[in-house]
Amino acid sequence: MMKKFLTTLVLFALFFFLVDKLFYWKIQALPEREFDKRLQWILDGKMNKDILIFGSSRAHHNLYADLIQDSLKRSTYNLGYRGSNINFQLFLLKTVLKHNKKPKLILLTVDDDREFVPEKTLQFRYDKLYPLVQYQEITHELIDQKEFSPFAIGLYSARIGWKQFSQPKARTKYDTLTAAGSSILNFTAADFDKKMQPSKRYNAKLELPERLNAFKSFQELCRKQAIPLVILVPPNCAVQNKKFVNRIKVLLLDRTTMFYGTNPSLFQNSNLFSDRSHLNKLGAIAYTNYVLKQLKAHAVINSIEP
Amino acid sequence: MLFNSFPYALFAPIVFLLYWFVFSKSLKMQNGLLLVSSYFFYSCWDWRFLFLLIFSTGLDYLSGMQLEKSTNYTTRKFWFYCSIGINLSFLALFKYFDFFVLSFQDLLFRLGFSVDVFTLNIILPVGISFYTFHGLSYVIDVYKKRIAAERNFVDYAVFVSYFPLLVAGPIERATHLLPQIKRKRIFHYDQAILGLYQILWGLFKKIVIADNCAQFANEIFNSPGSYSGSTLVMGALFFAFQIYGDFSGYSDIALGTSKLFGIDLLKNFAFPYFSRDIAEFWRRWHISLSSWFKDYLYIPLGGSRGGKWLTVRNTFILFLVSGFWHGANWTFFLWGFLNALYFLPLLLTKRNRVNLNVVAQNRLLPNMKEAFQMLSTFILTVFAWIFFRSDSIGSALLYVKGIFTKSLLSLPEIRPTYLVVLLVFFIVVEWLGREGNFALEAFRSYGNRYVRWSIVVLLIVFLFVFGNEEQQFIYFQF
Repeated sequence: MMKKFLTTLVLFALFFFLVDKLFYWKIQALPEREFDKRLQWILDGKMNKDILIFGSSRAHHNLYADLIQDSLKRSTYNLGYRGSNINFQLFLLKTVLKHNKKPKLILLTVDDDREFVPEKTLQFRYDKLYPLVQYQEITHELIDQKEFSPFAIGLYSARIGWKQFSQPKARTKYDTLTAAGSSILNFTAADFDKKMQPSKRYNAKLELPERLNAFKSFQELCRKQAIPLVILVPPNCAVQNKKFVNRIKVLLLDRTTMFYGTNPSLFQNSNLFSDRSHLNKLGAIAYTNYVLKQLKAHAVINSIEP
Repeated sequence: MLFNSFPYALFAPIVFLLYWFVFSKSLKMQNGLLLVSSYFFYSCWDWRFLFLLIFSTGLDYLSGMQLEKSTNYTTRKFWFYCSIGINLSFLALFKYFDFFVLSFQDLLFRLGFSVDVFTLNIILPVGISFYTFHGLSYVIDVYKKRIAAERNFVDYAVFVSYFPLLVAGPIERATHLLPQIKRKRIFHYDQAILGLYQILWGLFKKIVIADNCAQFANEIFNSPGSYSGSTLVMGALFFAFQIYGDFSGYSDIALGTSKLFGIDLLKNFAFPYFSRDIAEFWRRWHISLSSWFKDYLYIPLGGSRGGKWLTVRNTFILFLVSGFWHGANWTFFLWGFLNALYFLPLLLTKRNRVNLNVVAQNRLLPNMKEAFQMLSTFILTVFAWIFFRSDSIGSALLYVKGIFTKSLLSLPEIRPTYLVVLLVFFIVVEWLGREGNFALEAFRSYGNRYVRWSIVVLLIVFLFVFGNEEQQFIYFQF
């Protein structure tokens, strides 16, 4: 009885294992559905740039990486991801360092004033990882983050969600990248209320330890790798939250970290914005030029060899 | 350790192999293994509450022995009330203390008094309602001399703590489970295969149906004010399938796992959403709890022997206590009350035991009358679930009010096509298997082995593809 039972189980497991292998082709085809290939390029070791930009949409839309590249004559790439939090940015940095040449300078934008507090719009972008489960390290990351069950180590079918079987993704207005990876907004959001908003009270008690730890780890990693780090607080169509800016200063581990938290009054002009949180093309150029001016004044920048 | 987790997928096979290969020579050793693994299983959740479980088990074991040994009426009464009192006190303390204190504070506040109250703010030990009821039924049965007291502590402890039923039932009876624990178990191939099918179907119900429905039900129930009437209806429907998939899925995994160990557990669900009236629904939903309340509450209260009004009173008590058993919230109380109201017309017209067979027996489809009866019972049940799921009576009323608006006729804002397709598939499979103990039972002897295996593979793939994050079983909180 037991022998028959165990034999049946083994035969079934074998049958299942064979069927499961059919998902290999689906997994291989998954990256093709993506418009944004930046993470795949990182994993393939194709992100060997002098200057890398990290952050959320505030990095992706507000920093014109092409302009920095042309102005500083150093290869630059924007790795800002819409809706990503600092934990995701830390994951990106680690992956870059693992598979690519070490960058010579890193720019990191922080979100005034939602960087560390519970915020629905800033998440670990698992959706960017799902299409790349052909890479074992991505699968392991998703298992570590409890997005996948540990069965995913050995089973292909455990690496695919039903959404991956749905229709091809539709290209959105945010899916157009410049040569250096930025996404410049050429439109004004229909619901954009151009009135400058007053700044809100910042409550440090709401900060999440995992966000603070990730911010700390990001800085530590740069320090350990001897990569100069620039931290920026891009403007919002709102009065800047000084308490948040001061809070960032407190959280800086290193005195040598370049921090540009206070923005010129120029950015109180709502015509430079595409929506409440993002600059339009004009604004992005203005802000990038402002950042460039600060960088050029700094000795570290001049020491970067092209 | 959840049934739908990776650690359980390792734990269960390890216990299975030890049980049949290492400890199979001796029944004592097998029972010892079951007890140790059950305690390990429980302590994975929170080891501190293991002591409470052991204390409760020890108390009931001792009470049982004393009840049997003593012929003195007073001594017997003492041990009986001691055991019942302490067990219920634990339940009251952990589950209801804060609720009643806060309700009292709220009442005083409404009367114009403001008082500070002391609350415990402690977490509810998982499964306390279930293992307390195991112990209670045992002590009552020994006291009433329906069964002999169990002399072997390990055997008794396995009866209370057997890991497949420890945290969410089914609520077993000593008369059913203890003899199986004391008897040498023999491995049956067919039973074991059937057990695996039942586990698979349980996982499908939990992971594919319940967890996917939960996403949308939670979203809608968390802000009922922001959705149209039609979306609120969808939310209630999703919750109806969530709670059924969740709880009956758990029971299926428990029953299936137990079959692998050669032990049969009480059936807990019998396709309740195919019921033709509310009385039939309650004979098919959480059967082990309904029958427990019937035997240890309804009948001792007089049952239906004391005339119409006494029967009505007892029925209301039964439903209200059953509601409160589910949780310390007035919403559960109201849910129980609603079900008692639904039951009342059947009781008064003596039609509460009309539909005792399986609907459309030996037929593929129901007739028009049966279809109408099933639909109306389902609608009543779904309506009552709104109160069960809502955080407060206020939000439940807001939810109901939101349904009956002009927007009821509009297209729902949330329309997950994939989930609707899955639900249709689920209902069809359940309907086709409604004459068995679980939906896939008949499928066991269906056609060619490779066709069967292909369908099983498909179901397993569904578990992965539609599986979201591991989610707690709803009934763990009870």
